[in-house]
Parts: sequence; C-alpha cells; structure tokens
Amino acid sequence: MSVEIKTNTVEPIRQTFSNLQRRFGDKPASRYQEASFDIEAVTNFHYRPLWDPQHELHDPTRTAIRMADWHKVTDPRQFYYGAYVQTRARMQEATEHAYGFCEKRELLSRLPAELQAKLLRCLVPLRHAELGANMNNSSIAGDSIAGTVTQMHIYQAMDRLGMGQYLSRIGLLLDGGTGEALDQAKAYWLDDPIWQGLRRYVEDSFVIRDWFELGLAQNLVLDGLLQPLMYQRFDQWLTENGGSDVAMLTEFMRDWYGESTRWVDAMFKTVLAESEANREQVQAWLEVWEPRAYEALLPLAEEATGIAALDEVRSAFATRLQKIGLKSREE
Amino acid sequence: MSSLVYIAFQDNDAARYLVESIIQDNPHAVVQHHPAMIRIEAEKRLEIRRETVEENLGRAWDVQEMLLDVITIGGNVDEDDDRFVLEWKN
Amino acid sequence: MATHNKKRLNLKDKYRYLTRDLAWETTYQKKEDVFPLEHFEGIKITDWDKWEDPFRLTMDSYWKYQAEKEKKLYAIFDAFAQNNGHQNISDARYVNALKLFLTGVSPLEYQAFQGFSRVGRQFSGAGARVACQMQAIDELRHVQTQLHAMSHYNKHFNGLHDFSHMYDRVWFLSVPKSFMDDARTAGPFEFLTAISFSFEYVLTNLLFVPFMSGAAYNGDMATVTFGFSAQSDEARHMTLGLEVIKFMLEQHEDNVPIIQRWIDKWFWRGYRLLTLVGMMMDYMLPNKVMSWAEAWEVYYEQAGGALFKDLERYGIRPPKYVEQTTIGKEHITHQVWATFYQYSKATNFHTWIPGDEELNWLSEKYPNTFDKYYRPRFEFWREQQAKGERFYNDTLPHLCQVCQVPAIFTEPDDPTKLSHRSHVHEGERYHFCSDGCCDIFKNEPVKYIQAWLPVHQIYQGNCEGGDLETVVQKYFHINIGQDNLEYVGSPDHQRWLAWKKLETPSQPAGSNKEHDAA
Repeated sequence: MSVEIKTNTVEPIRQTFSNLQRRFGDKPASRYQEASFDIEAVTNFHYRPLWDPQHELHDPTRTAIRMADWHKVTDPRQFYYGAYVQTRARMQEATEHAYGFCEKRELLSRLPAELQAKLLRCLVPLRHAELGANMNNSSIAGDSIAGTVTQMHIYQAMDRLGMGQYLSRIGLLLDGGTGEALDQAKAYWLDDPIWQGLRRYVEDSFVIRDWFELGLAQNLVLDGLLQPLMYQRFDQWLTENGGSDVAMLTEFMRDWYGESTRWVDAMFKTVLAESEANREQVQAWLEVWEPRAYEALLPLAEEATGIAALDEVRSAFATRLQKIGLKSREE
Repeated sequence: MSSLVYIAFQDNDAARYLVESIIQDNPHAVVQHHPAMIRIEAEKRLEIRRETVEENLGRAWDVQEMLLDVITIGGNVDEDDDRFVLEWKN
Repeated sequence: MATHNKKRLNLKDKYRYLTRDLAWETTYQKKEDVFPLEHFEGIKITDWDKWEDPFRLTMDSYWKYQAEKEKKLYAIFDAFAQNNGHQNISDARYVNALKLFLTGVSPLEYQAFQGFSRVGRQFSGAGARVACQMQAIDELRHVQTQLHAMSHYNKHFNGLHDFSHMYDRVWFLSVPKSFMDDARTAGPFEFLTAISFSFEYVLTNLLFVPFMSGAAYNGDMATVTFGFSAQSDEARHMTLGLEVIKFMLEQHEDNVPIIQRWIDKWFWRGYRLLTLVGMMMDYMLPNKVMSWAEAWEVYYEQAGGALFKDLERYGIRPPKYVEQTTIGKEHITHQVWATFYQYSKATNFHTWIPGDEELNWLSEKYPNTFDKYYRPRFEFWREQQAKGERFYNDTLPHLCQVCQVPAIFTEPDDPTKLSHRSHVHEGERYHFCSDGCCDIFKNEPVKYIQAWLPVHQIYQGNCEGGDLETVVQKYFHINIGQDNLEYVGSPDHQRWLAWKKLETPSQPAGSNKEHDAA
C-alpha cells in the first residue's frame, strides 16, 4: 500500500555551503563536516595580539609543524559538540551507577586498610596530573589552527577535568566525604618522592610554547605511558590483591583512553605524512620527551606496580609509535 | 529608580511548574508572557526554592535542572542545594 | 580509613575540592613562567581564593544536561528539515535576518570559543579557569548548532552559502570581526571584561532575545530552538561575567580605573555593534516583536540601571556617553537601514522599502523622529523605485576607524548634522563616527591604526580588483543578482511566491498597498 504524501516538494538550490562544496563537491554534508571545516577566520585580522605581537591572532606559525591545510587532521570519531556530549553522557550514566553502587555498599571503606592507603597514595594524586592535562589541552584549543583540530582539544580538556573529578570522588569515597583524603593525596603530590618526577614533567609541560610539541608531550607521550600504567597495570595489580571493586570506578578512564588514542594517532599520522621536515621535528621532540616521561614515572611505577610493568608499557608504546611512523629511543 | 531582577524561561512544560513555584514563593513577582518565552521580574529579589518546586512537580528536583530551561537572568546569583536566588544588594 | 572527625562537605566546598583544589602551587617552574600573562595589563590579584564560583557544574552534570539539550535540539532540526519548515515562515524577507546572523554572529561564537580556551589556561586561579573553559566549549556548541540550523535554509535561500569567507572580507562584517579581534588581542582580564561582562552580561539580551523572539513571531522553529537552547548556556555565562567584574573590583582599588576604562570602551563598542541588531528588529522582521528603542529601554536602561547602581559601591559609574544612546535609540536603526538600502550591491542580503503597514508601525514606535527625519526619505526612494529607478549608491561608505560602521550617525544634539570626529596620530589623520570611538582610539592608537578597513583596502586594490563588481563577486563571494540587491523580484522572492502560489509582481516596487490601490 502506498501513502500519498501531499507536500509541496521543492528542490534545494544547493546541497551544502560553498566552503564544503569546494572541498567535497555539491553534495549533502555530514553534521561533522558542517560543524568543523572552515569555521575560523583566516585572514584580514585587525590587530596584533598585545600578548604576542610577533604573530597574527590565528597564526599557523605558532608551531614549528607545517601543514598546507590543518583541516587534513580530522577526528576519526567525527565528534562535533552534540555527538561529543551525547557520547560522554552515556559513559557518565554508567559511571554514576558504579559510584553510587560503590558508595551504597561501602565497597571502598571495606577494603583492607593497607589497600586503601595504597589507593590514596598511588591513584588519587593523579587528579592533579589530570588538571595539568586539562590546562594543556585548553591551551592547545586556544592556540591551534582549524576547527577540526581545535575542537578535539577542548573536548580533551573537558574530559581531563572530568577524570580529575572522578578521581577526587574516589578520595571522597575513601574519607566518607570529608575531603581529608584529598588533602592527604595533595600532600603526596606535592612532597612524596614517588610523585615528584611526574609533577616535574607536568610543570615543565606548562612552559612549552609550541602547541604541537605540547600535544606531543601531553597527549601522545605522557598519556601513552601513564594511562596504561595506572588504569591497566595498576588496575590489574589491585585485582590480584583484593581490590577488584576499584575497577568499576576507573572504567571510564579505560574506555576514554581507548577512544582518545584513535584521534591522537590519526593526528600524528597525518602530520608525519605531510612532510619529511614534520617527521624530523616530531621525532626530535619525541626523543626529548619520551625518556623524560619514562624517568618521571619510574618511582611511581616502583611503588604501584613494579618497574617491570612500566617497561612492558613502554615497549607496547614503542610498538604504537612504530605504527604511527615514529621511533622510540628504546630501540 | 527601581532595581529589578529577572529570569526568563522557555515556554514549555517544565517552565510551567517553575513559574508556578516562583509565584508561590515570591508574591511580588510579575509574570510576562512573550513569544516562546516567559519572563518574571521582581523588585530586588527573586527566589526559587527546591522544596516548592518538588512539591509542585511531585518528584525530587535538582536546582541545576533549571539550567535546561533558563533563557536569561538579571541580578547577582546565589545558588546552593536548596535554592536559587537572584538579588540586587543596593 | 583514617579518622572520621571532620564533617561531610557541603555542596560549595565539595565543588571547590572538585575544581580549584585540583590545582597546586608549582615549584619546578616559576609561577610567572607558568602564567606569564597575568600581570601585563596592570590588574592586581592578591588572592584567587576569594573567587566565587559563578555556578557549580561538575563535568558529569555538564555532559548530562548538555546532552539532553542537544538531543531535543537536533530532533527539532530534523523535523524542521523533513517538513520543509522554511516554507512556513512569515515571509521570505525574514530569511535576510538569518543571513545577517550567520555571517555576522556565528563566526564570533567560534572566536569566543578560542578566546575562552586561551584565558581558560592563563589565569592562575583554577576556579576562574574552569569557568572559562566551560564557556569555551559552550561557544563551540553555539557556532555548531547555528550552522546546523542554517544548513537547511542555505539549501533554499541565497546569501548564506559562504559565511566564513565573507566574515573575513565583506565590508560591513568588519564591524563584528574587528569587535571580537579587539577583545581577543587584548589581555585576559580585558577579554573577560569585554566579552563576559560588557557583552554577555550587559548586552547579550539585546542580541539573542530579539533574534529569537523574532524567529518565534515569524514561524522559524529551527532558530527559536537553537537560540533559546543556546541562551540556557548564556545564563551561566552572564553569571561568570558579573562574578569576574566583582572579583577584580574587590581584589584591589587600583583595578577600578582600569576596569572603568574598559567598561567605557566595551560598552560603546558593543552599542555600535548592536546597531546591526537594531536594524534587523525594526526593518528585517516581517512580523515585529518590539522596536529597538523598546528593547534598549527594557534590556539596557532598566536592567543596566539596576546593575550599575549595584556596582556603585565599588566606585564604578555607568559607561561614558551612555546618555548618547538614549538619544540615539530613536535614530540609529533608521540611519543604518537607509545605508544598507543604498549599498545593497555589496551585501549578502537583500534590502527593501518597508510597506505602508511597517512604515506606520515605525511612525508609531518612533513618534519623535521617524516622520520628521526618516519616513520622507524612504517614501521618496519608494517613488523612485516605482519609476524603475531603484536607488543604489555605487561608491563605498566611509568607515569609522574604530567601530568600522560607516560614519552615518548624526550629532547627539542635532539629527540633521552628521557626526564626525578626527584625530591626528603621528602625522596621519584618522576619522571616527563619534566621541566614543574617538576616545577609544586616543587611549590605544597603536592598536587602532592597524585596523583592516575594508573600504580602504578595496580602494588600494588589495581585494582582487578595482571595480566594485569584481570585488563583490570575486573577493566577497557574493553572487551578483542572487545574494545581493533589492528583495522585490530577487530569486529568493520569486521562489517564495512560487511556493506560496502567489503571483510575481509585474515590476519591482516596494510592497505597498497604496500603490496597488492606485
């Protein structure tokens, strides 16, 4: 049976915006394309920034990396704002359920005291490192070029704030909501020798001026070692030592890391494929930051998982770098 | 000269409960209906109380849920678990 | 674990633990190297701990609420497109308001996103940083939802097709662009005073509420929905704007004169920018909501009055030259529409002479000025148009060095005399539309001599051609005969008549009953 729909059908006079026609032809564009390409100003800026008179307001030379068109870097997840928040909302719903369950059943406060102490010393202080990642990504979102690039970094910045907040809630579960555990965790972050390498690395990243180098130091290198170390290897250690309930509180971070490596890897591949000069520059930065990140994490690994776990993480990271087209100094 | 605080909501179902609650708690408030929008203004102070909204809605209500329907506000904001206040101090 | 002698945290303290307590005093790098831009503007912050979080939204709640808003919004966009919602608007002339919005406002949202991302890194106070970052991602939301709402209109109307390219080049779009460039090239505290306080808190209602109510009155469901959905973020941004100002003022008395100068500057910059919105309200909406003068009274004079009374205790006075806006509110929209009517060859939207009903509405809303100064001009142009002599000005207007609006406004004390100021800087004479803009220049001449004034650039041959037609088509990407010129008889108009099964008028003329009756 056919239903006749009486509408005044009208043919569109064009399928999409002119900028997308120039890129992809006159065909209906995806919401990701409409929301991401050519949405920034590129020329005829009125004034030089008071805070950086050497550059234009949007200036591709704020990094040593050169791309003929930064829109070549796209997001494999095709996140525009709506897709992004809806994905995170689904993840947070599951996470909220886990935290609620854990609180109601008092799962953390029933853990053996030494395990609680270890969580507080080895996991909760990471909340500060997350804030560092948040600052770095917000900075890149402000300095970088092309909507396809900038938006991924503000999503990343907000994700890191969210993860810092989840870690803080683990502290609040441990101390019964008083904040004492968070004060203690902060003291570890500031003074405990196991955290000083990482804290120095994070503070050093705050003064990197080239935004692409900053992205490498933070999103590729540090996360590439730290995330698997803490959310996979340390999680495994917890499971083997009677702390398997903690896993439900860090599920968000594991899912997130799996997802975020996709765009990070895609971005590096695209940038390396652009030119030999880019490859050399990225490789040079990698050789500075990768060994430093490894050194920084040694004392933490020693306490949390054992050095062997960090070494395994490092060699898995070397394989990942190889797939991207970079060489780890280890080899 | 008067010092009016104001808040405007999208004209939708959620807003109807909010407006009802606001009128209940703020007898001096004036409600204006605009296209697609309900605007409430009041001299000096306007308070939205969680308890009243929950009574009217018949369910638990988080003050931050309001963020879904607000269009604009005027006045200093003070917000906690139980209420959302708009106020001019002078 | 540990001892449980402390009380459970209340909401406020808990939020502090979940935001600013994540931060720490760096020791491996010096604070001034980590936050190098916090001092050069001269603002003194003695204690960031005094920062009051303007709203307490953790990321999990943010994701949850924003996802809910987005879900609703996109359901409506889909329904709008599937039902050819563009055919249900009041009149195709209405879409010209959207053209102005997409090319003049949406790109600003993107600039704001990057601006807030930067300042969201630059303050050493983590509470302020987090609030700025949330605004950053909200602003990204706004540009994207606006594009998605306009996407359907772009398929059925001209003038919307190359918004970003036009924003960088078209002469009148340098008004919004220079405004946002000015804010973003300033330091972080001035940026917040400009955008969070002066624009978001003091003036944003004048941008969004009229546009969205206008959309509601003119059957544009897609725009109403994105607009009001965006405004629900705006309430947070406004709270941030007020908090920023109060915080800076409370931190140190030396901040007061700096902030007063910024408020003076950004109020005037915003007022000039909003002239374009006022014109839209008074002239481009077929079904009118309220006049610009009325909107100014409600959203500036009344709301701003209460605000500045509240700020008096810090030693802040209302913005300089505010009295000129009270006079100007009865004039500026007519002056600007008359300008765009003449220069329609170089606009991405159409212009027209209002019909009799609309002229009568304007007479009623502007009893002191419209009949006396403006109606005769429009009626004269209408007569010319009826004779087949639609008036176009083939030159380009002279732009103010600061606001970049053509210097077409009149003296506050004499509506028959054009307002014109000039000032010599290092041997060169610069021209302005008003005392407000001239003062802004004198405070920062080194900045404003850099302005990229489109008309100068065109005459200097920097825009792909010397003649207007080449510039319009090739440089602006305005398709001649489609995007620009008179509305009556335009392709948009003809398609509209076909959809509505109405007859095409035999000759271009202002839609006027008088003419039909004759």
